[in-house]
Amino acid sequence: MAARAGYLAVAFLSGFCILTVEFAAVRQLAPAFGQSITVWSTVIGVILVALAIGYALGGRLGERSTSARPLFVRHGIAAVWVLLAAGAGPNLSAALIPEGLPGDRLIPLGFTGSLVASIVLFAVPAVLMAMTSPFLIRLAARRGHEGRATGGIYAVGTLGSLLACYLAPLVLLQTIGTYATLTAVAITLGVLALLGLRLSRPGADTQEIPAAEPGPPVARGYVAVALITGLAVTILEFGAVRFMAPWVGQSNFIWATVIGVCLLALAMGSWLGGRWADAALSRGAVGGRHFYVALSVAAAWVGIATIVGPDLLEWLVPQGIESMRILPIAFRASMIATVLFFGPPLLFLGMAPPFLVRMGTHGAHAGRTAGVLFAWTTVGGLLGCFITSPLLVPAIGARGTLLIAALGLVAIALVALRPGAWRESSVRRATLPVAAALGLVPLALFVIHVAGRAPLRDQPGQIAEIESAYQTIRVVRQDVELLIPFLPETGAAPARLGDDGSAMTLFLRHDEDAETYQSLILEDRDASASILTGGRYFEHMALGAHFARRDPKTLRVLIIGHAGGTVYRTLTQSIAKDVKVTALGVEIDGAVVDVAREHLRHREIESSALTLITGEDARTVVNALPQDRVFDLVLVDAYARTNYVPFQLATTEFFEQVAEHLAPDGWVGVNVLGDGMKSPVANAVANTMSKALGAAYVAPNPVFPGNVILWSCREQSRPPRLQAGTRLHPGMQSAAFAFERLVVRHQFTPTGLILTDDLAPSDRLADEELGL
Amino acid sequence: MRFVVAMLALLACASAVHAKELPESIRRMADRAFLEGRLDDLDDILTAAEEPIDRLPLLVRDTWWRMAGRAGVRRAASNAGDALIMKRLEWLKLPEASAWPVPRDGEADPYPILTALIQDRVRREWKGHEGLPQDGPLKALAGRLDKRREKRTIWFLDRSSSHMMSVAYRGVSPHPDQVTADREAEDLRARNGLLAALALLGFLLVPTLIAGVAFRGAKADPSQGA
Repeated sequence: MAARAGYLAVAFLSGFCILTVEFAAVRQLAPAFGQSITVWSTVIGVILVALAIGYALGGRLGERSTSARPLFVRHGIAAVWVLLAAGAGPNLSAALIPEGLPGDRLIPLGFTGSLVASIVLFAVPAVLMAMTSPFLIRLAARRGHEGRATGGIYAVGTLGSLLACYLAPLVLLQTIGTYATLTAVAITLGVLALLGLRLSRPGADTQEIPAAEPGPPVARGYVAVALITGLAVTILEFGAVRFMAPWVGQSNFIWATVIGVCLLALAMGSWLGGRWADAALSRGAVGGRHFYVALSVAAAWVGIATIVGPDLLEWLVPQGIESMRILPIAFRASMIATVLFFGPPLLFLGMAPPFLVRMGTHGAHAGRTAGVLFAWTTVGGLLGCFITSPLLVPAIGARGTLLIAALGLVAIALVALRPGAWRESSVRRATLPVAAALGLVPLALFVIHVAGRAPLRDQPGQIAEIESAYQTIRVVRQDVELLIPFLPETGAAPARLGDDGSAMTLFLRHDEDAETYQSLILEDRDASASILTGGRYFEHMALGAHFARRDPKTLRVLIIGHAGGTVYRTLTQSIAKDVKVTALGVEIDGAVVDVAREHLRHREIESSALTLITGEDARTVVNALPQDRVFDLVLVDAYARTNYVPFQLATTEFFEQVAEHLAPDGWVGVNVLGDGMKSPVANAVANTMSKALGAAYVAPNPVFPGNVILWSCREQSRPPRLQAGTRLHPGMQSAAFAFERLVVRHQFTPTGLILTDDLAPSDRLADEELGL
Repeated sequence: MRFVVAMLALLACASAVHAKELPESIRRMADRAFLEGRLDDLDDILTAAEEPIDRLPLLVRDTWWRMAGRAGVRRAASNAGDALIMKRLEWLKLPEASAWPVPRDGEADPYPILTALIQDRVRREWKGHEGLPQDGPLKALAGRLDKRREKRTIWFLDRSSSHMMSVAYRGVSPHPDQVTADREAEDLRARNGLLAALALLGFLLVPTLIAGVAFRGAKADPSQGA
């Protein structure tokens, strides 16, 4: 019993450490290489490849071992490696930062560096930690009970991952930072190694396991099933988030909820599957048919979820909820929808490892079988990681992506239950028609989906929905009131465009966003119109052009978060025509620019004066800027998953880098979603800007208190001033009025929160501010 | 609009053509134009201003409120005679050094709104928002405003206090729509929370019960595996 408990404890801690290292790795490399989907996939991909190698090696090496000591030696090595990675990681990453902006580059900016850094820093500990599970199964499994041993260890390891899924991104990385998190993992592994070595020392009261004789290779059929189930699990996890995103968004809590429920389902499935496999297969191989029928049920379930899901989600998160109130409602809705729609299928998929190990094991080779099958499951996960968000969702949408995964499961079931695959004819007769009938559900739905793709969510006035690699983008056409309540009375600007007191406006909205927007254009306006965006924050950002220029005839701008080009359009159309504006715009999601070209007249603003870089994280671009590239104005309007200022674009190190590319009297403006002056996110970013640049000024927006613009310049402690003698564009009067009456100096508190590349809890602050 | 402003200003000046300083009504117009952000109108309103004290809003606008160098201040300071205006012109040369000069007791401020705006901005830009707007310079101004005539200014003060500063300004309560929206959101949150708890509980219980019933007979010897 003590040994059994020990194995489970080791499996739990290994599962926890592996996933924590994954989260920390992405976080540690982000300041150097950004968080574009290329870099993210590269880092996760390297770790998953390492895990696959580790599983296979663990199973093979485990067969030659007669005690658990080698396992703990590996944990010790992994501990030292992780500790070194924690310390050396930032320096190594900095040395690998690419130089030069992407012109004709074929390879994305951060790809090579992130690949090398993640291999050097994290591949070895991942390999070593992954060797744990098959090794433990080898130690724990007894003939006839391989399923139970595999299920138990896999389930407990998955529970460790479940804990890491919440603890690492939501607590550890947000409170103690990346370095301390990795150090904590190293300490955990080190303690585990020391304890394990002590308990398994020669002469201790431990069980010696005889070395196994070389056995036959694992059947290719089982390998294929492991690969496809691993692929399906990852597609379902990522697909679930994207499927629900139009209602619940992609905040950290939503990701944690979806991944958490998925891991819980997999753990329960493993535990249940282990017992089921031992019970079913004790009567012969024919028992395996249960597993394949279960996969068919999972496929049909996913198919039905894609049909009923939108209606349920619409009921759970109705339209019209304001952005500052929606997250607590959406978080709970995501829990309900994930449990109902994806819990049962993933529970069935969680049965795969114990069933396959039980079916594929010959003699005393449970560890090796488990290692090989886990490795192929991980390879499936790796494939899923690379194809789901970057390829499948943009190509066939989240609904189609989920149906593809379901069809893959049906295909496995039908092949496995095909005529002749089982000796007992009664088995074929009973199960094949059932599996085929269940498989018709996703097949029919997929055909319907491909024939006429309907939007996931429809808003009033919606004219397009595009699912990009990052988000769901909706183009919505609405008649809305302008946000200039008093200036029209002064005659400074006309109040309205339409007779009914409103303006037809095209918005780019994303994910759960039913109220706010990342870009817009007033449909009826033209270049000479006196209204720009009707008092919205784009005008407040563009105001920087009026105090960030030394040379009155030129303006060099860096726009981080170009999106649909509204900031650039507002800036260029509100500035005097004789000012030569040159701009570098960076947008991580190139699909947003494509949508803007199609629907928001983006091509009107494209010229040689505007250089656009898409598909790259802005931090990577700033890192790679040539030293002599100087800007008068840097505008940061970047958001990740609707609500978060990307942490790597809000740290001391980032602002210091930006300062190196600022003209002597240049200014930096950062748009922050936050509750006015009280906003903890805005205060943290302002404190960080004060630390890096000397002082920060907060410019609230009187017509929408949810946005503030933070301003800093290199000339320390100089409050921003509009230039006298400039006749402001009428559409900028509202912004100028608010700017001159409301700008407040941020009170720098050296002991307060200052965001750094290592510790930047901006996500946690945003979650708290939004009620999570 | 600017034409009307200029005509009104000229009419007011004509009625006091012999006076060296601008009439009080013109100063009030300039004060209000500053308050409402019509800074370009100041040129027309103060077109007849000769004395530094009357040109003060223009000097403030062009040397401190907006940035264009301080040559104008130096020229104006050379012939400034009044003590208060002298102090104010000196202040414009080096605004960070001291507080905006205010009249002595019993002495009237020629531009009280401008004074309040400057004091408010100095305080915001150097001390931050602590204490604003409850104790800020604009607070005193708010008390003198006519609710009907000065609705724009009141709107601005309300907004600046309750929204931007996240501090409830006296007399401002949440809009009824906001109260309703808050209540509806709270109801939805509670309903979804209950359903989420039930869903999770069911998900945990059902497979456990199935396993307990289905595999009770197949329970293995604990000594035989993990």
